[in-house]
Amino acid sequence: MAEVRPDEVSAILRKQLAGFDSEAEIYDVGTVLQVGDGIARVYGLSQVMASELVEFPNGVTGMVLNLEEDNVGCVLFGESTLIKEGDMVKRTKRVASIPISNKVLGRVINPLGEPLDGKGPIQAEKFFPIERKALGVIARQPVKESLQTGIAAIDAMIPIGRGQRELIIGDRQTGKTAVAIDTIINQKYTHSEEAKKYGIKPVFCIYVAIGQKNSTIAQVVAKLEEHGAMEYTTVVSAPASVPAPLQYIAPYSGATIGEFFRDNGQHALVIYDDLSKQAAAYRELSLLLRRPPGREAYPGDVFYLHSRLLERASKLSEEEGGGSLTALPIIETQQGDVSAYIPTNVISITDGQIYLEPNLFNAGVRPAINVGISVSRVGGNAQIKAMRKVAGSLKLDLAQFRELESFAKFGSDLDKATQRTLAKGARLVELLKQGVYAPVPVEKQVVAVFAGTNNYFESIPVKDVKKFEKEFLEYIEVKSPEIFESIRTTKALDDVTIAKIKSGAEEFLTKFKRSE
Amino acid sequence: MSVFRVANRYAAALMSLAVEKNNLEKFSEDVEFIHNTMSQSKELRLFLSNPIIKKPVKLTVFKEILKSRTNTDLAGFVEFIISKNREDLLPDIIKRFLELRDDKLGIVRGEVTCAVELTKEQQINLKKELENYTKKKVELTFRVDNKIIGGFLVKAGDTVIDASITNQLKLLRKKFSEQN
Repeated sequence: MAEVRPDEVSAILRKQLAGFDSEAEIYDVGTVLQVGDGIARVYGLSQVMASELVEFPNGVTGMVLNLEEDNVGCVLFGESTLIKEGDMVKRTKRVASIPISNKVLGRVINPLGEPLDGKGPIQAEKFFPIERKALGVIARQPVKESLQTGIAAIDAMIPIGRGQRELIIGDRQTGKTAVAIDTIINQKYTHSEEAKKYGIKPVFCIYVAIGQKNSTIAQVVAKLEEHGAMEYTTVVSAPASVPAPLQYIAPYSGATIGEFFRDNGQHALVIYDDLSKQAAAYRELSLLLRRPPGREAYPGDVFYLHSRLLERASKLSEEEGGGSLTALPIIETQQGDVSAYIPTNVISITDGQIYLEPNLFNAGVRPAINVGISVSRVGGNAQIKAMRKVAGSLKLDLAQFRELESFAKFGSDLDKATQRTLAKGARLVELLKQGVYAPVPVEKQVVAVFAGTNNYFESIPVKDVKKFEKEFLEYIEVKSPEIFESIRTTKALDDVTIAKIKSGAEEFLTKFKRSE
Repeated sequence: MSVFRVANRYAAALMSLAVEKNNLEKFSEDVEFIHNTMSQSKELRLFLSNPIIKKPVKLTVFKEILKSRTNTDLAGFVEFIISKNREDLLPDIIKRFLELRDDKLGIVRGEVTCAVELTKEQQINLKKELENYTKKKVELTFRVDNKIIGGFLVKAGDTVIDASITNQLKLLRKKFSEQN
């Protein structure tokens, strides 16, 4: 250790003290009347604003939620056992807000913007309020760019656009989080030099974990790091172990981070995993604040809770910079009951939903997306032309397949046309199966779906469909990479390319070796 | 219903009565008298809030206390409150009445804490400064507490003007810990 001389110490101290002004501090205070269950009733604080942050002793902070005639109801972000009756509460004159800058990327933070990953403080000059009013009509424009999830079933049939709100809904253990993580991983491409060349703007991701196990969050972060996706991702963590108020504000913090990118003309994707837990946290603190309970004991403004959050997703007009904020909320249903209060609310707010079903999941159809009832109300605008062209017949084929599926058990008793439809459908379902954390680029999806809908799989046994697809795409990659190149650059599927894919497929069919 | 709402309602009624009779000074003097009597006597407070003691008994006692006072309106008000079974709220009503009066007259009440006793001159100067700052009439009570080491601390309503050495040290500590 270097030796420090006493006179140096005093010089350093003097320097530090030089900037310290000793003016009187003026602040507003209140007194704790009652405390418990994460709620404090405070007397005084007569000038306090709704959702202002207040300071309690022992470093506990709180947020003002109820303004009543003679007292103020605060929710606590820390241990309520550290606070006792008669303690002094100090105003901060700051509405709940978090510090944001580009430095939040790659970090794990709590809903108040404090780092949780031990990588040191986050440099940010500006605080942004976590609750902001959603933009009006003038500042927006229709969703028109695609946000590729890398999952063929979604990108082909339930396309998501930048600025859209698409709900991911399903029972527990149906792969909801996996869909979201895949989407984040697939955005890696948008940050590459190659994407820049094709005019694809980077998408920054925010993953908001609400009411989950700490171990699950750690797993997600590890997965993202493993795939190099943490560089452009922020994780807002409000695990089950933190007080309900923090779980309640977590999605709003995430939305504020997303808006930071959006308002700088960039693109952001925010995932709320999941909003059922957030609603439960909000119910908890509403009941503790003695707000009247309504259906399923949720307070009356639980619809507004989610609508004001999801309304913040938007595609800005060119005058506003053209940025976007896409939201992928996740809702967990109980026993597939989508008519419960929270699921119906969120379904009605979002621009479509992706249903994940345990039956499909258990039958090995993964991702377990029920394409029959999943929709995207933005539709073809959010797809590249090439995909729109091939996806139309895919949807139709699958719809016909579902209609006849129940007859499949009659097997050879059916007429030829029905048998063909069933065989094609089974192959298409197989084609849309995909592993986790293995997103597929859009040009490959287009070629694979094209081959599927144009009956090139007819002679291939169902169990070999995946093998055929993989080898076929590799074959194209080597033999005629200009096909992929053309789709990437023109984003369309011209006749020349179609002819090339057809000849490539016919050639490959003769070379393909079935598995034994 | 919340105590505050009830107390506020009665206090506002008493206030408007006082204004109507154009006798706010006398009223507040008498109310302060009841306030002082009650805050000095725990027995009286317990007596008032005890539901077993019958109304007539409570009334007689209050008549006895207010005998020296000539204000019949106030005596009538107290009688009314007892008849309405709200006598346990009397301290709250009185407190609220005094607050309303301060609001009306533009008086700010503050408590000054110092480490040492202030001289008369210092007290007057401090009061003048505060009146300049708040643009209202300021009434101060003084308290000595050597825990604040030096400087002073004024608490007026919900606002605290903290010029104490303890707070300066606290801020200094915060500043140092933030830099590292």
